[in-house]
This record gives sequence, structure tokens and C-alpha cells, in this order.
Amino acid sequence: MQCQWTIKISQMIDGELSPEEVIKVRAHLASCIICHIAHKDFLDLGENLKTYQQDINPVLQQQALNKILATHAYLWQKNILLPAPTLAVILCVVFLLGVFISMLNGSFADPTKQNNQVSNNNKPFIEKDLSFYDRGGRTTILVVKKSSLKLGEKAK
Amino acid sequence: MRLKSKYKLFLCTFLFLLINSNKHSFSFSQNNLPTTVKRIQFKVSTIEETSQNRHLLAESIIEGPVGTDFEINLKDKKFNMDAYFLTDLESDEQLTMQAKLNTKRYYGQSEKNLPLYEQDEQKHNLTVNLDEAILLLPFGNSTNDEKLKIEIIPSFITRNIVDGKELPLTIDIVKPDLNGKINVRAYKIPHRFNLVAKLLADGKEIAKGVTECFFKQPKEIQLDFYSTVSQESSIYPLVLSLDVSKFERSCPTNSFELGFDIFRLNQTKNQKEPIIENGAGAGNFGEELNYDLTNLYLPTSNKKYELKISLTVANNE
Repeated sequence: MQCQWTIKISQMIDGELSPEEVIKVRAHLASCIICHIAHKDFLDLGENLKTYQQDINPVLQQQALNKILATHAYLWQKNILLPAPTLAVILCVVFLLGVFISMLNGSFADPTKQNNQVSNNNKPFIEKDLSFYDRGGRTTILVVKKSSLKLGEKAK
Repeated sequence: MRLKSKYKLFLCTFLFLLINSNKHSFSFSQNNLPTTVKRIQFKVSTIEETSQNRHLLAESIIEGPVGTDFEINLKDKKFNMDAYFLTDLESDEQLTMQAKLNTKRYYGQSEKNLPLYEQDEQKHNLTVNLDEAILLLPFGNSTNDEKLKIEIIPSFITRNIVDGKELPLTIDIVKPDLNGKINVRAYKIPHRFNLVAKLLADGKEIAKGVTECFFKQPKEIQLDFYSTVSQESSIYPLVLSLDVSKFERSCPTNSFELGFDIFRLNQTKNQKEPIIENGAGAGNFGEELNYDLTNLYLPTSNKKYELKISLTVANNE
């Protein structure tokens, strides 16, 4: 069931009609049950919308808006919206974690690891072929003074 | 009278016991007295040397009786070196060392993709005083920034021995080579031998030569004829040039290997005529090696000539 005046009722609620037209619509409302029900529904809807608008979180509203606007955005094009305090906390945690890890590698390092690093100084000879020292020279044997060897001075 | 004889008997028994106990205690103390022996040490250090640094890679200390020989081997994919050192005491403050250096270096590949090697063999007779050391440079005395050196430092030490027990030869690895590229071995074998060579004609000894020879050192010996030998033979004295090339411990007697050349000395022309060149023999110490020279020494004489060579280890070894 529909009445031609229903649109006029909606326009009246929205304040779009002239005062003469409003008088006419109100006269019709008194005699038309359909328009009376529609008028009541419009008013209820308006009330409901007002209460909904108050509950809307601006963040959620923005997220929804972003979602609508960026329908084809790629992952790297998307924005992450975080409240400033949360972001500050996350940054602090990351910083503290970094400091902790660097402390573990430094002063709390395993002493055996340090020894291994020292013994790795021997690596040159382990890894080298004897041919590393070879420039094609002939094996030589010499008799020298012991004092000229200086063994042990740097060998330690 | 009876009492006197009892006293005499007691006195004799006491004296006998006293003397015996003294003898026993003397011999006991003498056996347990530590005696000192002179031993030799060789400190073998392998060093990587740069212009700024000196890095000890491996070190071993060999200790043994005077006359201990040793080997140093370097082994890698492209380079091998075997250095043999035969050592002997020259005087209280001096050593003689026969060094034999064998090297093998990878050179590349032939057209048929076969490996080519450069091989070298050197022999050196060195005299080393106590304040001196041997410096072995496997890759020569080049001006590289990084050099590999092997230093061999000899020294004498005295050790106490108890009950006359001989001290063993030891190799103390102070710093092991980390990759097995350097190996050191040491052993004590006799260096001096007594050689007797006899020439027999139809089974009768007609000439003899006796000499002492040193391990791996060529020695020449001329056999002297006995006065009863005919004029024909005595014109051609036999000369041996030989060297003991190998000593091997075996049971019941140790064995040896010998390399030799045999000449006859033509006294009229005053020249050596070869009979056998590059001959070799192997045998046990104290046993004779026999060589038939009938067709070689004096072929026209219609006599059977034999050469007998025997070798024994010298007493002081």
C-alpha cells in the first residue's frame, strides 16, 4: 500500500516544503492512515540515526572510509593507523630489546667463544696450501747463529 | 785353650760377616748411584714469518742419545719435502750433520692431462757448533712477505740414569701441527761399521782390506796382497768404493744394504779399471757376501777369483 503523499511527508520532515505545502500535507496526514504510519516511521528512523551517529568511533569511521576509498590498494600502499601512545610503547620495547641483545653479545659472551676467536688466528696456516708460500724457490738449508733466530720473542 | 779357639772362631766369623756385608752394601750403593749420560736435543720449530709478525705453527722437541737421526716431512697436495738428518758428534762442542733434502713440487699438467712434477735432491754436510742452529727454508730464501721456516736448534743435556737403564728416545710435541702437514720422526741406528773385504784365488785368501765406514758416506778401500801372492795378481790390486746405504733391524741379526763399485788398479798405467759398477748387496751383519770375479778380475789367469765382504757394527755404537 502506497500513497502519493509519502514523499511529501519525507520532504516535510527534512524542511524542504513551503509553509503552504506543509499545511496541505498536515491536512492529508490527519485523514491518511498510510501517510500517518510513514510519518511515524520517518521520525523513528531519524531518532535512531541520531543515536547511532553518537556511538560511531572516529577511528572506525576513518577505517571504514579508508576501506571504501582504497578498494584496490596494495599491501605496501596501505596505511597503518596506530594511536600515538601505542606507537611510542612499541618503539620503546624495540629499543630496549636491541640494547639487551647487544649486551648479551658483548659483556656476557661465552669465554670459550673468545678463545675460539683467538685460536682462529691459526687459521691462515690451516687453510693455506703449502704452495701459498711457494714462489718456485729451491729448498735451502743454512747454518745460522742461534741468537739470530730470536725464537720465542714473537712466537708466543 | 778351648776358650781361645772359640774366641778365634767367633772373631773369624764376625770378620767374615762384616766383610761380606760391606761388600754387599758397597755394591748395592754403587748400583743405585745415579750416573749421568750426555744426550742431544733438537728443537724443531715451524714458523710463518712476515715482515711484521712471527707465528709459531708447530713445535717438537726430539731427545735421544748422541747420534740420534731425524726426519722432517712436509706434505701437501702440491708440495712434498722429506728432509733427512744424520747427526754425529764431532767434538764436545760440535756436531756433524748429513742433510738430505728431497722435494717434489706439482708443476702442472702435460698435454695428455698427466701431472708434471719438479723434483729435487740435495745433500749437504754441515758442521754445527753449539751456538748455532739449522735454518731450513722449504721454499727457498725468497723475499716473500710470508715465509715458511723450519728452525732446528741442537743442544746437549745431561740426564741421570739409574741401574744402568738406557733412556728412551723421545719426541715431545709442544705444539702440534693442526693439519698434519708437518711430521717429525727420529730414530737411533748405528753409524759406524767395520768392513772386511777379502779376495780369494782358487779358495785361498790372497788379499785383504779392513776399514771403518760411516753410514751413507762413500768409502774407498784398497785390498793389500799377502807377500806370497804371485807377481801377476799383485800388479792389479783390487779397489772397492762402497757405502752402507741402509740399516734395518731384524731378527736374529740386523741387516744392511750396500752399494759399491769394484775396480782393479792397473799399476803400470796407474789407472783404475772398472770391474763392477753400481753393484749392490744386502745381507746380515757378520755374514759374508760373495761375488764371483773369475771372468772379471783377471780372465786370462785361469783361476777362480772370489770377493767376500763382511760388515759388523763398530764396538762404540
